[in-house]
Amino acid sequence: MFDFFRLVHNENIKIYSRVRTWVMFGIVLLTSLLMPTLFYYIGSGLSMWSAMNALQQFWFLPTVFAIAIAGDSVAGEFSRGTIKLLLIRPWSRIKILLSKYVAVVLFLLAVYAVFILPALPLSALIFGTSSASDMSDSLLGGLASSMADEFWLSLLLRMISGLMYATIAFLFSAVFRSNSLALSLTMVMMFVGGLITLIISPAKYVIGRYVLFANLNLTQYVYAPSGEYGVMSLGFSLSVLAVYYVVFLVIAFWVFRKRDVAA
Amino acid sequence: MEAIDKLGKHPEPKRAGEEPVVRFENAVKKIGRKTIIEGLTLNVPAGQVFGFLGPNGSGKTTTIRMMTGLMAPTAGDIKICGRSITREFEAAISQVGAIVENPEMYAYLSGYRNLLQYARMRSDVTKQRVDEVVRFMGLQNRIHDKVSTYSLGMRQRLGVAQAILHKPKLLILDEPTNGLDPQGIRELRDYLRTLAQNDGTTVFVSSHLLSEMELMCDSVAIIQAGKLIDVRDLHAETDTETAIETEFDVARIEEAIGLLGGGEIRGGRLVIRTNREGIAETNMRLVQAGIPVYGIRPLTRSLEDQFLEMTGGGQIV
Repeated sequence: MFDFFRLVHNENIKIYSRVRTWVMFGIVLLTSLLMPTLFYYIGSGLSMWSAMNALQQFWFLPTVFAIAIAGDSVAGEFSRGTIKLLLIRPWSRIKILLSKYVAVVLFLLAVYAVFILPALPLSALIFGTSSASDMSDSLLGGLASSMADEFWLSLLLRMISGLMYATIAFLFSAVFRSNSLALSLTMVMMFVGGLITLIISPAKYVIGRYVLFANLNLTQYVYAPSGEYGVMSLGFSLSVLAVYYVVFLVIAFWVFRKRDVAA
Repeated sequence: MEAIDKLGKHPEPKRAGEEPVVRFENAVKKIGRKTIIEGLTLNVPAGQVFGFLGPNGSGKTTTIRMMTGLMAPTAGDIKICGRSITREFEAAISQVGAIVENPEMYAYLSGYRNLLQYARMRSDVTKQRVDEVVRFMGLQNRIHDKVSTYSLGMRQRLGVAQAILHKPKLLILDEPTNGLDPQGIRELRDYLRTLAQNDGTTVFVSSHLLSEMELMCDSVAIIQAGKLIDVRDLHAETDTETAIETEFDVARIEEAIGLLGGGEIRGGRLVIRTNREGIAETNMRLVQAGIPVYGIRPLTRSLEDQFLEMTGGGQIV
């Protein structure tokens, strides 16, 4: 097991010794610090937690960066040709791919940490920690009983969506072995998802409830336990996502293990 | 009795009767409908520098990809130190160090950090070993620079360094002289020799450069269009018995023919078919008869001529 962590360590080095990774962290850090400041100047009557909830509207930033890292993870080795030197070590392809996936998940956690952690003390400093305005009407009947609750719950749910997107990018990366294809396909899915849910509406068609995209936006349950369409629940969506998640990983590992390397 | 059994099993002569390091057992590779390798059966003896020679597109790289588990054979098997690369991959590959095609590295890391990547993937490679290999390959001055600043020759050296970190029994190099300058080629040749002689590493080198193979290898296997054509030992004892054509550059050719009672004139030179002793004797007779001899040259065919003859020279690709 110790040896396996050395593989993960290798993958971490490949991610964190690149300039572009630090550019991503820089952008996320700036967002985290600038947004509460900006809210202070333009907003009125904001509390610490409402500012934090507003910051979360930028959740796509850490998510997209995690997608970029995931999409490059396997495909990058193919485009550089380094995959050949990587796969001729006494490690099964399954373990090599698993170490890459673990590194991608760790990056997702890291980039979300950079997104949230600097803003928390800053918002507390700017807006104060008084809980006088910690409740809002929009939360009535939802899963959160306060704005702090709303924040932590949505963060958790957004990170689960982020994990799904990163896993999809990782799957495309392992299957298509092309960085740009993995990235663009995942982005297309992010944008087209809403459109597809509109066409195959879960409210009208039962099958629509099982479509991936109808379940990816988990924050809908923070405000209404039966979701946007009033026909699903958080537990239902999490179960559907779990099934997709397992299927995605099985395909990624199966294809990566089987296919010839001709890069 | 045992010895006879062994001989019966392996009819071809081998050094010290060792188990071959690589055994191709009727390995076949088909991609789509195209057959890239047709039933390759070949033993690579231990401790040799073994050349794998063939024109471009003959299946050399595909063979190396199969040997390293990057591609699965469609049929047949390849065994490395007795372990099947398909069924016992981790055991088989742990004996192998390789460069497949170009030595591609992580250009954004230093040479040293690239080597550490591969060192971490094994439990038997220490930092001291990494430093030792860096010195052996003469990379110590630039090893902490980013690989993106390396010349092709230095990348090639770094490639060999990552391949020998774990002291593999089998070192596989795919077209290692590609893009190297003459000095680089010479150095490569030298350290491959050192590895084979001092560490007992078996080196498997592919190339389409025949002259290069002649200088580097103990034996060569020649493939063409996915088929093994010939395997030959390049360091066979010089044959002193067989008559070969020898060219004598002499004055007064007609007189010389009369004296020797044979021979023919080719391109203004006298050509005689004789063995080693015969050459010395002929020379003596010519000199004693007062005919000046300006030069003697055996008309052996180089490996290149043989290779071109075997592969049919101008093939249609």
